[in-house]
Amino acid sequence: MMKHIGFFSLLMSLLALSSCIKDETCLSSNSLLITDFYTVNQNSEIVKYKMDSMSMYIIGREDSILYDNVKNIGSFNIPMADTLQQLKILLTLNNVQDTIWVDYRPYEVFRSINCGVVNRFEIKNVDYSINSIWQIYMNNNQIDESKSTNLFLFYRTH
Amino acid sequence: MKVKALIFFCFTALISLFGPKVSAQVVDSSRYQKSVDKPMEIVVAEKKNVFVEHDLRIGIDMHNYILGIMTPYRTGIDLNLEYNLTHDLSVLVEGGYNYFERENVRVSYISKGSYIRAGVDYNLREDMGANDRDFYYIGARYGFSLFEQEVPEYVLVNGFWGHSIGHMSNEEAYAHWFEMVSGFKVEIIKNWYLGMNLRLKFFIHRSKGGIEPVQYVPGYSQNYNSAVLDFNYTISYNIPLNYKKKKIAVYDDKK
Repeated sequence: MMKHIGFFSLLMSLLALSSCIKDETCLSSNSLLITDFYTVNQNSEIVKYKMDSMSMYIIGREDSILYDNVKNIGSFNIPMADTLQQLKILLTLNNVQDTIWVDYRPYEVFRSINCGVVNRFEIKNVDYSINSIWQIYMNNNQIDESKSTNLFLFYRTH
Repeated sequence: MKVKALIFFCFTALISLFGPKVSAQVVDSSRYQKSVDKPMEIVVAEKKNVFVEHDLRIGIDMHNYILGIMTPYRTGIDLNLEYNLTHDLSVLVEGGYNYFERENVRVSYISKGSYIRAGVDYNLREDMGANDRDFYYIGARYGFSLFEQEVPEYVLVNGFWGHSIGHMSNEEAYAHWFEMVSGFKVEIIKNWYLGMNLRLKFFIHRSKGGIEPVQYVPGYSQNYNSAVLDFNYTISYNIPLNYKKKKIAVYDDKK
């Protein structure tokens, strides 16, 4: 009988130790709308474009200058708000102003106890003025951990 | 007539003289020994107290209480009922109610609900003595759980817009799974058993809702992988219903 109890106790201890859960690696969340600049060159080819200077802020939020006369820039990111459904962004591209309206839907995604909950965003619609912007093409309407480019902004060079 | 009487007398005399010798020759033959002498020894059988099948055991799983010392976020009650069909085979039902709550700086999570498992155990011990009632077994279970999940509060981290707090409302869910079991039960005092078993569990099917992946399924355990290795510590009591240690004759081949 004592032999059994000893065996029982040993196994119990080993298994109690083995019950510890390993730490989980959490992917970083992403709440940035990623936009790349493109243009159409004189040969009618679509090419990536680097803006000489760019400024950007979000209308309706104080101290929201995200880009202040940044030089030689090929892409920009817009931080999405978890509690809003529309953002109004004022862009100054090579000293010409344009406005972009982004309608979106934030939705919560439970990942795990260790990694918590993150918001992902579905872009529903994009409107824009056409002073220096020629066209905006929606490449991917999901803003998530994949961090793929969401919008292609075609700049009017000529 | 006189001749006939003489022959009869001689025959009778011969039998009376040689008869005992013939009989002694028969006793010496091995064939006769096997069929007549040996059974006289085997008939002497002892009557012993032996374990009669058809035990009914009720038990409680101490798994949550023991783990609760290290991980106080899981509580509940887990009971089991086992009935021996034969010496080797028993059927059993396990069930209970589990409550699981975890909280950290990012999220709080609750899963609670009841479950039931049904299955069989097969005793691997063949050399059990007359009063030896310890078991080593393997078995299988089917499990089903109805439970609720909830995220009462979570924090969204946003460096630009600031952190915000939300919640995910209560949702009902269910799960089916299969288990392979291996363990033992030791009778520590009369009719009281300590037991332990290891379980390898696989989901057969489970519902999917907004809180996904599910973190804890009552009766199944924490769900971090497709298969889960779990264990149970049980204390069981053998209910002496129609069970008795009866005195029956035991023929011991060693004698």
